[in-house]
Amino acid sequence: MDDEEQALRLTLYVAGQNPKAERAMANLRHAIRQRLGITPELQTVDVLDHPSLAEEALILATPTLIKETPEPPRRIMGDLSDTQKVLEGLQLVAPKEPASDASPADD
Amino acid sequence: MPRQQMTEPVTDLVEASSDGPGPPIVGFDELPTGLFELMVRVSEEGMLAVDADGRILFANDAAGRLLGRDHHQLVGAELGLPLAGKEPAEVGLVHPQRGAPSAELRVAIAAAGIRVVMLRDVSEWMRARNELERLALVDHMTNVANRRAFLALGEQALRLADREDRPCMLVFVDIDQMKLINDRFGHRTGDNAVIMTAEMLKRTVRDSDIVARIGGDEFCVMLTGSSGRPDSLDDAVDRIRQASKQLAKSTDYPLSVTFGAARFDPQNPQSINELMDAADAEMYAAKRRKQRHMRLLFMGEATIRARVEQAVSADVSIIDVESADDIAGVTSADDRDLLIVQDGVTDLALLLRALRGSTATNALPVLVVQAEPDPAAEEYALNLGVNDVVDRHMPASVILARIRRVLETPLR
Repeated sequence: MDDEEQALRLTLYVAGQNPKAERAMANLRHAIRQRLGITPELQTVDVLDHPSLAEEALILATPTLIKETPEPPRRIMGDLSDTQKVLEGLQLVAPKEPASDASPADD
Repeated sequence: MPRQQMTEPVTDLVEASSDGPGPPIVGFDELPTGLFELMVRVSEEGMLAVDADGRILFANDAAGRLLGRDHHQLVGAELGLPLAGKEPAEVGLVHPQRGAPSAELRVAIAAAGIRVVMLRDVSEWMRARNELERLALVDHMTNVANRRAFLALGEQALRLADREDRPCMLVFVDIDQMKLINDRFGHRTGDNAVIMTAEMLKRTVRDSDIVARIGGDEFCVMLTGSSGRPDSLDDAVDRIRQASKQLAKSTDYPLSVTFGAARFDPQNPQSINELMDAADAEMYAAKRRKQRHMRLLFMGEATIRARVEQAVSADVSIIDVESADDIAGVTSADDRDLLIVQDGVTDLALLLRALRGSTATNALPVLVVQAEPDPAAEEYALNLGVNDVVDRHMPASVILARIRRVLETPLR
């Protein structure tokens, strides 16, 4: 990425230590490098330490992961362990072919 | 039941909320309009509908309470696209007043990418679970880790040390003369000895080291060391040694510990059990070295003294004493002393009262030697609190064994 504006910037909001979410982030960083060939800028905010930051970002629950840039911003929350679902949720990859018993999301 | 419907597979929800053909839900036609909405509104489980961008379209009262906001205010706010697998996800709610209460998150996908989000407050349950987990791993008397926790955490520490090619050290610590402390000063004092030792160890090591009570009077410490500074482990053992010496000064009963250390070598990795055995063996060797320093204080006639001399090995020093003052003058907390008194040479009751009244001698074990076996005198002496009674006609090996038994720390 040579354009600063286009850097992939992610912010993870957690409440206290969250090893599960941190592990998920390590996996995500790896997957982004492998599949997209870029290294994301990843910042973690503890909402207990920085309640005002959480308030500004209007965080309702943790863990919440926000894609700040590139546009459009996206946010996902809950179980971040499924890297494919996370990448899809952040609209970094196209949804995989759905399983036969579910209809594709109608965007 | 609405809850069952909500937890059914995603495809059923799509069908239930779409106009397309599908098997009719039994009894649906008979239900009055608006019933499901009412059910959702009054449910104690937080329920939200979220659009494909993660924006809240609807929130019931319970969701508002869980998130500490009026449920109307939640509409339009961005929750984020909710993700949960087959099992509910554990999330923290950002509640303006309650910190971060824990909740279970479940998600069902409805038509047009709309997600149904269900939140259940599990903070009370989580608190109870964490407390239970803590109790299962913590020794309740001392608040340090218990044996089970030590085996698990210690093994983990060794694996990490192995991976990082970093030595670490296991120290086995045993309280000296625990039986004597319990017998002479009572079990409350015995408990205090255990607590004082645990606190000394906790104070002395780093937070990242592991202190555990692995038996009644036994502790293990895992010193995790610093990368690139192998000598830091020896420093840590030294600190334990220094702190142990201070122990006796803080109590009005004799409290001392013996310890043995075993170093974990990443070039030749051992299991936690092997390392504990090695440190335990070192500790017992140290106990034996201490016992070689034992001294016998003798009060009585030359013939009886000669008999005692015969019984013990030549490297045990025998010191003649004549009074409680004499005894207080020669004995010290660091020594392994035993007072041997010949029956009849002094008023035993007075002597014992004097010994027990002085901090220097209140824990000194006492053995009475009779010139001739006398069961009544033996019973009298034992009732006064002497540790054992022997007579000079006993074989030397028996006398030695009885001396050893009085001096020895109880076996496990």
